[in-house]
Amino acid sequence: MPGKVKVRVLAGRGLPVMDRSTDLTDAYVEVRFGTDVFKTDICKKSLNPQWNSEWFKFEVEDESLQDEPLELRVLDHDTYSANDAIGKIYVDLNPLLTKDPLKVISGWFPIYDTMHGIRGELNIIVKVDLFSDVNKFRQSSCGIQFFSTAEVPSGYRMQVINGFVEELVVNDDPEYQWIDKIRTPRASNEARQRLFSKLSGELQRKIGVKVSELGGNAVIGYCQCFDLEGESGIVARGIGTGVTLVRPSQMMPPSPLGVSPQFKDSPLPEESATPSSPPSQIIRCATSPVKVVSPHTQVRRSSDSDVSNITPPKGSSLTESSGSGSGLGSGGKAVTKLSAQQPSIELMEYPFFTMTSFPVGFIIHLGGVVSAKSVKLLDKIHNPEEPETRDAWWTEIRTEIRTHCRTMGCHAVLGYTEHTTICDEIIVLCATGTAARVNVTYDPASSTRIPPPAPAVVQEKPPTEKERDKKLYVDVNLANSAAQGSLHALYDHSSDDGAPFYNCLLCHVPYKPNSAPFPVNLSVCAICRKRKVPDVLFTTIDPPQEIQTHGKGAFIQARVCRPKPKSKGGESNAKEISDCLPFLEYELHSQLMNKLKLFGMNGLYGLKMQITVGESLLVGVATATAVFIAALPIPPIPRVSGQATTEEENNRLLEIQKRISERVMKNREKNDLLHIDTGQASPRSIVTDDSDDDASDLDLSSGNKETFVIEVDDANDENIVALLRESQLPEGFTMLNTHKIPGSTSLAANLQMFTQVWRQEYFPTSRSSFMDIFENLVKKICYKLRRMSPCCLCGIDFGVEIPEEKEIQITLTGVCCSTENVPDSVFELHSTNKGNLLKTVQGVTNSNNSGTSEGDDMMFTMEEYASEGSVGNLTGQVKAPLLRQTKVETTGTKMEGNTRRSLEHVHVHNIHKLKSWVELTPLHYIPGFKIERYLGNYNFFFIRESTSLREVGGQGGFMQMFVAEVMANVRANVASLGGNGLVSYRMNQCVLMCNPHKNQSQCLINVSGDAVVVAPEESFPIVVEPLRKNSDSPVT
Amino acid sequence: MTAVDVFVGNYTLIDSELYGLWLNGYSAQDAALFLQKSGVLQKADVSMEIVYSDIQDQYRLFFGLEKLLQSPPKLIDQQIYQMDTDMQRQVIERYYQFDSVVVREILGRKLSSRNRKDMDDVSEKTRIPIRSCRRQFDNLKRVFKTVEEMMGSLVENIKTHYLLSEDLARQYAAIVFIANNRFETGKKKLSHLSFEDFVFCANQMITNWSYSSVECTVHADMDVDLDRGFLHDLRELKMISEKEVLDEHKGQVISHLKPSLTKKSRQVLEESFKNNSKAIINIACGLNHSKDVRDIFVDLVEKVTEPCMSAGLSGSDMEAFLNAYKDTIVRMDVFRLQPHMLAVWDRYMKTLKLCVLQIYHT
Repeated sequence: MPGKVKVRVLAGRGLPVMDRSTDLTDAYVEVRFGTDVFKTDICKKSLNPQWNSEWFKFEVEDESLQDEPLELRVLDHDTYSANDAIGKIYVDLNPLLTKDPLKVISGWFPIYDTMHGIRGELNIIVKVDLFSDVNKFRQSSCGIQFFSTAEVPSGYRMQVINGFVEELVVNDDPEYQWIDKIRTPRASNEARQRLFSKLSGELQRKIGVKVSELGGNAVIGYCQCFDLEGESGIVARGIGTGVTLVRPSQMMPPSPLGVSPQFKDSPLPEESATPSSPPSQIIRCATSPVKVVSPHTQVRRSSDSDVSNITPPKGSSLTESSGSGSGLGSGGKAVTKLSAQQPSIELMEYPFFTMTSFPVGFIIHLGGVVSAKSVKLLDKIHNPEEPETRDAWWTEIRTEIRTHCRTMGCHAVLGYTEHTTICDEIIVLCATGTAARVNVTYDPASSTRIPPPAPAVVQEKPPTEKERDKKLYVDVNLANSAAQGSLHALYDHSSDDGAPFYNCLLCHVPYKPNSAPFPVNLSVCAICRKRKVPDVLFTTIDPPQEIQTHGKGAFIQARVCRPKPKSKGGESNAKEISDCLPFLEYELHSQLMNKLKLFGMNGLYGLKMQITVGESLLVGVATATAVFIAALPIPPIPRVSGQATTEEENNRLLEIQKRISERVMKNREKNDLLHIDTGQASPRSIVTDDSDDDASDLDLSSGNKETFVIEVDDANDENIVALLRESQLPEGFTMLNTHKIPGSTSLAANLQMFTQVWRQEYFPTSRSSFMDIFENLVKKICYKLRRMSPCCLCGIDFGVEIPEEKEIQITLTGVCCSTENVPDSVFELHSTNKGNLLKTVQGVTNSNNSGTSEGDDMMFTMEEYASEGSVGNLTGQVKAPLLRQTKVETTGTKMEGNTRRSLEHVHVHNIHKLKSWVELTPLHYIPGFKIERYLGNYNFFFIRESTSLREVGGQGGFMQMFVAEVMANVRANVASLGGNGLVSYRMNQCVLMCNPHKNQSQCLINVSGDAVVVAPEESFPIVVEPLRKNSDSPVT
Repeated sequence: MTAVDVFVGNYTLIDSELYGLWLNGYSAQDAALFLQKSGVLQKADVSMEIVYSDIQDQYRLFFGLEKLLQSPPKLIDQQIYQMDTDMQRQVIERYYQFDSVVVREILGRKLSSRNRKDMDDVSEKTRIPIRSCRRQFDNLKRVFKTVEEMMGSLVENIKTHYLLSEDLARQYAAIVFIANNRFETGKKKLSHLSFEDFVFCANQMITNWSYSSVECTVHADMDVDLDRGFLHDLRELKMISEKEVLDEHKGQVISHLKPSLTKKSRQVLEESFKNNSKAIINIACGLNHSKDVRDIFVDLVEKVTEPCMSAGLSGSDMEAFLNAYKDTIVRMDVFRLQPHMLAVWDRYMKTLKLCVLQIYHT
């Protein structure tokens, strides 16, 4: 769609002094889009100029509208010499390219100069008028929404998954062009920054076209990377999942109560949906067991097509029922049409999904992590300007992933990511994902019913009557009769509690036990006692709601650093690396495994493996969140085995064994896993009794299960030493790398999003010295955030680079959230059976069941909670407003209480978040807040250079300032769209080049995320007020 | 080799303790040692390296903030550091706070870069780290330069341009006032006077003797200067020193003091009345000459307080005397021909009395 871009420059403030003689500045602004330029008047002698310009109008066609950024350049007018540049602003217009005519960008933007950083601010207004498409044959991707968020965005409903989309664009790097030798660093940086933003626009436009060809209207889990190949150019890569999203709220007339439509249709299905639900149950029952029993390709195909044929009527009947209630028939129609478009998984060339969490019912089985790597030579590209070679590389990798996935008996890859590492002419391409069996034609309605993403926030709405019924039905069918009774109880409780229902199906192996693709220890599922489960489950996705876990999650990281002979030339170097990679991966894996066992856990979520190649080092880091998955067997305490020749050695082995046992017990205690033992052990004995048919398998599995042997070569084995050296997080800290929080921890409020950049010389001496780097970093972060404890560090992301021969750079991002501890698993409560605690939860459950609860009831429960000690003295003050609140609010106050318990500045945050602050978070949501609107996906690329390094405080001062400037720019952009938050914040790239001898340094940072408008959960303002008044009084 | 180790948060949080150490001129190493002594390492179970890294982060942040703190409204407007207003105000206030011992040393010196070098001596004398002294000097100089030429109320100007609290702004106003009038404060004779004494006196003068005082009719000029018209009028007080007036005045004062003072004190006052009165009137007349204005504190000490003190008069004696001295004139008929002089007398004496009592250290 072509359009008219309208820009107005209002004013500036805090400009730098450009004229030494007057200590003032004669500023004017150049507004540029493409080749057109407009200028404002010169505002003489002012550091706070007021221009109040007219509207500058640019008529632009579709393509450049998406590719080009709007550029504003602030200059100082000089009568005699050349005008001096003050700085620039780039405005990405993509968020404006939607049908929403009211969208406008308006606000104070930092004036950014690549040599001087932020120098004042500029107040501008930007609007875009889009014309309807003039040429039917030109494919436009205007209006395709992009989300970095790797799940269905909150408030949306996913109707169709159109499939994996990817694109790759290549360009010359201005830094490596001949012209760079004669132009100023500023011109060079600006050329580069502009190119990045252009490439990013082009990439999105091309992906957008692909999505609209597939029939989708949005890309979720969008991930964009730049490969700085050096001489051979810049490659911009983007991957994502094309989907068709609808906003349920748009399909219904706004309800006067302001409640989301979920409430509206909850009474309806009880009568009208009854006829429509039985078929859906039948479908499920018919297909699921088939899939489990015989996961052969042939059968699978037929069963799948079955599903997709039958589903449309189901979908339509469901929506009609809700549609008729709200008096809108068109919604139902649309669903029918769109559901029919849902491509079956077999039709997708690459059945890859870049999301990390999925609607309930989407995942059937989880297989395990699949990954592929490939070492390539950049100087062997015949035609560096063309993308073909790189396309071919990635096709190769993806095909390999697909093959791996099939051998695991799976047909889809979830949580799929791609990444590269470049060192001189070597490039290593890596792809990772989780093999799974999925149901793409899952009931689309359920995605909205299950409360949207925020797991931290206690579920807003109790699951509707119908949903619970249906799911129960399915599960009961799957479960065998022996376990049925206990299951019933279990599910009853969990659904009452508002927690999602659990489904152990996901953990069952998707392949036949005897046709496992690799040796794997299988045992019987601890929940249904029927199917086989692996002893551990590694995944790259967020914890699915259906999988039941015990205790808390824990952060796990494996780190391997291997010296590599220095490059002797491209080919041999590449061979060296590819020979080394399998060993590195093996070591990573065994470290992960050992640590997992030490934690007494059996599952990994959010596994991220990063391989980095340096000139003389090869580094691999694997990061994940460990959990205890209820369906999987209890991991045994690792047993040390080794050859002890002397008495002394034997004693040392015993000592190690003792320490390992102690550590496991300590970890279990820390993560609330101690009581699990009894809870699970007894049911297992029942299983052995009545499942005779599986007896042989069971023997085998139990034999393996009870022993996890750590081989020790000698008592000083570095592996073990490092393992036991691993320090614990300080008291009051939890750390996770997933978005969703597994287990009993839930988040109350964001306290601080942080970025740590660490870089130092490193000589590989011992394994532990490499470990220590990471351990130290984590300790450092905890020390910095010590005043916020107790808290949870979430969305932790490590990025490792080897920028110079003997240097390692680590960037660490994450968010520190205050936590509240509510045991959300009733199963757990039963096993602990602490009378008081149990009563509390039941109290809440009851009041929740009755829908809107009576005041008395609530007060009672509130007091119960308080007596548990988490809120204590708060109750009195909050009681009054509580009288008219439901369970959500109760949690609201609780989290306030916790927040207050932490430090005062923490409290200040909460108050100010209600004002004009901009919150950044790597998570998909902001705890305590709900996302009202998504304003657009942002991809920022900044370059900063300094030729006066010492004067700005050295490398550290330079980096600290730059990172702060990047965040400031991000916040200003979000605020200019009327937003107050950026979710899924990610630092994709941080390339620092320094030359301290020349007093010079350059850095590139690429960050991305989704700008959003968030509003506090309803209870928030009510509760904050009384607290604020009391915040002066000492906390007892 | 390049070492980078930085931590940046979305919210800029200031570690109050470290900010204090930084303001006090501790280097990052000193601060680390200080924290080490206070047992932070054991408490948090961390290594020195981690503590030091945190200190450096904060110090770099302070370094960045310092540029904005030169002009506090910039700190409020800026977007680089996301902080709440309370925190911003606190940071500003603390940055502009000073040690009175240091400022006492700076007071009366010309706020020029030449004198900045003397901060070494000040630092040595006051035992406050040189960096802190320099900051205090620079702050004074900056505030002085900003408001020196400004119209309107001194305190208000300082408050709007430096966003300081009323209390701190008043202290700065006093310093600016003293600096602008180049009052002599550094003489050895004055060394017993504290910074607070000067602040009090200067604020009294600003309120009552400057252009912004209520009595002043022309607010055309700035209140960093004394009201010229008033100073001009003060010359008329000369007649109080004339023989007949002086004698009558003396009699009135002494009789007035009879019920309230001891005999001994009365005797002392009677003996010294002539000198005291002359000194007070001379000071008043001298205020018209800028050279004499500068010496106002010296004159007050040399001519008024020192003689009285050495004669053994107590503070309350002095207060009674000055009250009587001021009030009796009104009853006498000196200003028959110039009735406006009554107001001038009152304006002069009220302030003078307060100043004398403030610096009357017995």
